[in-house]
Amino acid sequence: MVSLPSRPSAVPALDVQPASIRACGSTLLAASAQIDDVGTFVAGDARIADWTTSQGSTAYHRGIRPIGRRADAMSLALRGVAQRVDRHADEMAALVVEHDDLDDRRLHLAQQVAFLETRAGGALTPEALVALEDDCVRVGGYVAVFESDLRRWSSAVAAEEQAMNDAFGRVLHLDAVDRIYGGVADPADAALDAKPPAGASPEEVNAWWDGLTRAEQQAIIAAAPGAIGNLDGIPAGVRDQANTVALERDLADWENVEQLGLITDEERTWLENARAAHDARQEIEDRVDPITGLPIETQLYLYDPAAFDGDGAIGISAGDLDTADNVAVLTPGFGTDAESAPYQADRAATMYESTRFLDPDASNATLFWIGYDAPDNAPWDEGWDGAGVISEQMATAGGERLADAIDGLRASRDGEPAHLTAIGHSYGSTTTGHAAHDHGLPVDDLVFVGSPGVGGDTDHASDTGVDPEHVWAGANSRDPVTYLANHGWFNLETFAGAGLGDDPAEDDFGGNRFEAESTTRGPGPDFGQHSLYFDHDTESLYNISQIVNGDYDDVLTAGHNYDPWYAGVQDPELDREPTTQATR
Amino acid sequence: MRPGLHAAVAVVLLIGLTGCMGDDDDSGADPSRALLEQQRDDVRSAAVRVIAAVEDELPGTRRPEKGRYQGCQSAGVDTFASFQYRLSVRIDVASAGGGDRASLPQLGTRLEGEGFSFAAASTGSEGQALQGTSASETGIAVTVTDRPQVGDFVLLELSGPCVDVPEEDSDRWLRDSEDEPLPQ
Amino acid sequence: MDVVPASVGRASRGWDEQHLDVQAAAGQIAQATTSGFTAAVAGPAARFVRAWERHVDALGLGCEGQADGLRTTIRDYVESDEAVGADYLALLPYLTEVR
Repeated sequence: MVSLPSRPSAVPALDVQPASIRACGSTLLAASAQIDDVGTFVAGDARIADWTTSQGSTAYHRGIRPIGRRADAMSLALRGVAQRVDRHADEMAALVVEHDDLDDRRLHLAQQVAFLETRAGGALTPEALVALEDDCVRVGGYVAVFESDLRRWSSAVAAEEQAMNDAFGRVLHLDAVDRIYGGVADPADAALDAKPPAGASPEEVNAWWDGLTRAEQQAIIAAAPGAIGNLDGIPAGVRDQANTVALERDLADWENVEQLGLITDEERTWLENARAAHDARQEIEDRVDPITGLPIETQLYLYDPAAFDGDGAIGISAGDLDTADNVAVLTPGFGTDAESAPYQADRAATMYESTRFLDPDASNATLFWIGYDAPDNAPWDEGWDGAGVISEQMATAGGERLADAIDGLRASRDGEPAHLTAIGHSYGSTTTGHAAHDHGLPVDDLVFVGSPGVGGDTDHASDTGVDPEHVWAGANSRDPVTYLANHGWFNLETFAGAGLGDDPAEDDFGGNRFEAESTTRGPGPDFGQHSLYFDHDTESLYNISQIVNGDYDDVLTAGHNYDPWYAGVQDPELDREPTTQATR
Repeated sequence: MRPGLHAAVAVVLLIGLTGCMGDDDDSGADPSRALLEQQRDDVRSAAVRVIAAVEDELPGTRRPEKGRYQGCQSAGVDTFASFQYRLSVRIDVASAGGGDRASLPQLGTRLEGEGFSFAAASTGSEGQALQGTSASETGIAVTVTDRPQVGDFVLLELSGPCVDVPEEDSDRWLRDSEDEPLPQ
Repeated sequence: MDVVPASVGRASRGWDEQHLDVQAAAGQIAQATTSGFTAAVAGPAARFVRAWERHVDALGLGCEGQADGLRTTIRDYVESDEAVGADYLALLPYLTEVR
């Protein structure tokens, strides 16, 4: 009589959505930051220094203390729950993976047991019987291991659920909150006291951050996201966490006052910028890696909705800036402000898709960086003269910010440094040129596209501080913005009152030029051609992507502009037939 | 030509072709809105059929799909001249006990039975892809990709043709993200 | 009655802002989604969210109470015989709640 192994037990369904749990944690964390502000207010601006001599002032100052203590305790309690919820999401995600694995094993084992049952039901020779008995013992062993693993997994699920419920229950009531957290020092406070002062290098900032305990780091993200969200030297993943807290808090705040009909014009502007940041990130998250099919990771690297007198500053990456093999930083130009973020996000996602498609073995990240005050007016709206004197002032100031941002990217990264490419488009190329020339950019490659000039002091690629072999220019022959750049003998400095520097696509500049024509071009100049450099399946996106990936041999080079003594500037790209280059 | 003029010309031509001579200022009569909304419906309904067929042949875990309008061609720094609707979904193949899982050509055959037609599979550095179209949802393109060197999953991508839009609608399509999940 | 400086008015506005911000936080908590938890956790999660929406709302009302209290102090002072000239004018804008 053969002893057949029992069929493996069914794996209970695990109906959970870790992403939704994480969203819940994120909401609670943002709310805790808001409550923390009340405590800060009570300790600071709520105190009325010049009102001290009356009964009323005494009663007031005494009366606000419990509110402050309550707010401090509540913020710590809520932050603790938020962080536990986040960890719960991670634990449940891991348990889901284990569940799927157990399910696979069960299916496999059930089939094996069924096969043994079939064999046992037939006529068996003595040898076959022995073989069957051996197989039953073997499979029975596997089933026993499976059952043990299943029990262990079920216990782990129950334990994690209980732990999460305990965390909720522990601070359900305010008396418990006061008892547990009343008077407890916030770990964020001492840690922030030791933060390097303004003007410290990204390396110093990074060293300070790495020296904090995890509890201190998490406390700062929750309580004072503004202190680190835009601080160069802080890792991108951390800046993303902090800026996410700040963004969610801002959206809740300003949407609340908007709903109440109390929003000021200034707040309305900031709210539009915050919504632009939210929508921009959503855009990237809704697109997938072309190789793995997984959603593209994003990081809210820069978020300051009130910067530059309301124009706002936003920088979001498609991809993980802390770990990607190849990183590109894209600086846009004329007419760009925070409300441009959704369009720039599309371009960053497109660049991510293109770079991954062309080199599936490397990981990538593209950061669009609206981090400087770009000219509001654009030549296609108002003409070169109508735009006023086109000056390099904004590019000079912007260049300093860009140089800090790139220094920050370098300093904040652990492990292998990225292959880093700075890409300047339009006036952003003037800014990038200034960043390189005035401050030095620790990049591997420099790319200028649609450039009106790379800054007045940069006469040659070597003036950028980057090896000229790694300085690249893409100029669409129909793009009138590129005509502004000085062209050697025929100096355009008097054309609009000022030029913006030399043409990086000209032979004298000493850099490389790549093909950047569009199949949509007409016979003559057209401002519409100025914004096509990052569209899918264009020569320009293809070549920029090859540079970002470090695949220089695959770049399609183009003849430089040149300026013969006997004629005006000549562009060999004018007559070449444009091509389509697959980028997805 | 100023940016946006290409798009405006395209829309006027489209209006002319459809025989609808509505007032250009009345954006409610703009055909691009109806076209793009229909395109989204078509891509999603085609996706439901593709996913059901593939899951039948290839038991596995379907990840949440990602779909939205994407700009085709830029018309300015903050404007797209045209949009399409694109949707992607990844199905992680469950490891079956014994026996090979359905191959890409087998998936293609099954999908042809559902009203899709494919060209011969193309081979890239990481795997193979089938590219085809839907017979019932006109203009909808389907790509099924299998990259065993990257992982045991199948990628499904669907998209519609690019539709020219008026400049003032660019923001609306770019920031549209209100899609409900596809039915399970 | 002792002098009530204009900084009392500014503080009242500060409390109004805190009230608004905390009200927003309560709204945020109310919208926190609990449907992603497993069945065993969804109940406690929902209960936590409802309770904390009330706790935070109460904190907001506390802030509003402080603002109203300061406005009452200002009103009493302005209506008394003590407030004169510049004091009086400086405090007038703070008599009413703006936000």
